[in-house]
Amino acid sequence: MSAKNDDLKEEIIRTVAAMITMHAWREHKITLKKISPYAKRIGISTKELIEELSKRFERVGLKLRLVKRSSKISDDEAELFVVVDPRLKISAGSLDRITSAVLAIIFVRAGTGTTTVENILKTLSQVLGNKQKATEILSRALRKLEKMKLIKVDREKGFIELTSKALAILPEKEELEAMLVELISDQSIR
Amino acid sequence: MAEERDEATLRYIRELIGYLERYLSSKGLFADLEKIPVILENLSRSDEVSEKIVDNSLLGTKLFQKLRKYLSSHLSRIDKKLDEIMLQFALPLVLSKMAFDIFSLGKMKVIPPIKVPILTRQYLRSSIRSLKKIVERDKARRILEKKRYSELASLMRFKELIEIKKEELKAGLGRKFQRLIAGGLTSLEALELIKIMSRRELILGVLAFLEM
Repeated sequence: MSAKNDDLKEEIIRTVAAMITMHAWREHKITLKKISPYAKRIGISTKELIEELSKRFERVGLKLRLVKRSSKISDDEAELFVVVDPRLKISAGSLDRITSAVLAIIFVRAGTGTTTVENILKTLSQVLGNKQKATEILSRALRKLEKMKLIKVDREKGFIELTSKALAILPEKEELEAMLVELISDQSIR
Repeated sequence: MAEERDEATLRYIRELIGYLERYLSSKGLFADLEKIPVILENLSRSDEVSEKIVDNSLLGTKLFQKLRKYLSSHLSRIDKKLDEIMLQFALPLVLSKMAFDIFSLGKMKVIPPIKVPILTRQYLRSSIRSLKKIVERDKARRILEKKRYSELASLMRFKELIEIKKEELKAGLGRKFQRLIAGGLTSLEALELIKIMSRRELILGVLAFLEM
């Protein structure tokens, strides 16, 4: 009986892991609410299921990310994503270098909230030392990021907001901030 | 002479029979397809051919038998090719309509490949650094453009000087140079003059003279 239960538990954990992985880059959201019935079926809490999944993903170089975009939404609506662990010592990205850099700047400026296009352009111009070039790069990167559903742009108000997907894929904000400060200070020395 | 011509006509008829046989045995996959109509056209122009195939009835019968088979085989081949062209023309339209019907009715779902997103720290660091490279590349380009402009400016200035020299030569000024040209560059006087003239004066003079 116990062996049968263990088999079921294993099967359900593997199913949830596959569900989260296969929806990592798609429209369909996997929230805590969606996986809680699976946790109930094997008699564990959602938190325990998440911990177990995190451990398993960690072992194979992946990272389970729980993204709650704002304090207004309930904990159940927090979204789950699987990404390749950004701490791994490999240089790889799903986006091209320039777009990744722009995404990092947006994250540093906006965090989980919003920022303005003007603000990003100002930072980029500061880094590049050329406003025209910065405008060119920014408009191209914004189009790509929007297409990949990593940002939302309110063109009327000029606001940019990162989506849950972008928040899941990016490393820690402090780390990116340090990289950007390093680059800007390096520019100003020159 | 007449015998030679007869022999040539017979050889030509046999050659045609050979081509027809090859066409029929290879079921139309015969490589030199254009050869048969060309030979047929040439033969039809010659009066001697009809005489020869009547004289040599065995050869004539063989030729007409092969021709009959060739014509029916070739016509059906053309017919088949036309059908293929029509099918090729209609097929993409039919296929796209079928695909559109299937997907619009929701009978089939398109499943994109599953990818796990990745953006490592190392990659982001190098990405942010790549912004610096853009700046450096831009600076290098600007320097190069400036250099090109200064080269162009000096070339234009040089051209201006040549024009001035040309005007001088036309006005009969620059006697030394006039004497140098008049005496020929290999003369002793020319060598003496080259010694006393500055290099710049000499180059400008020669170039102005060549342009005149």
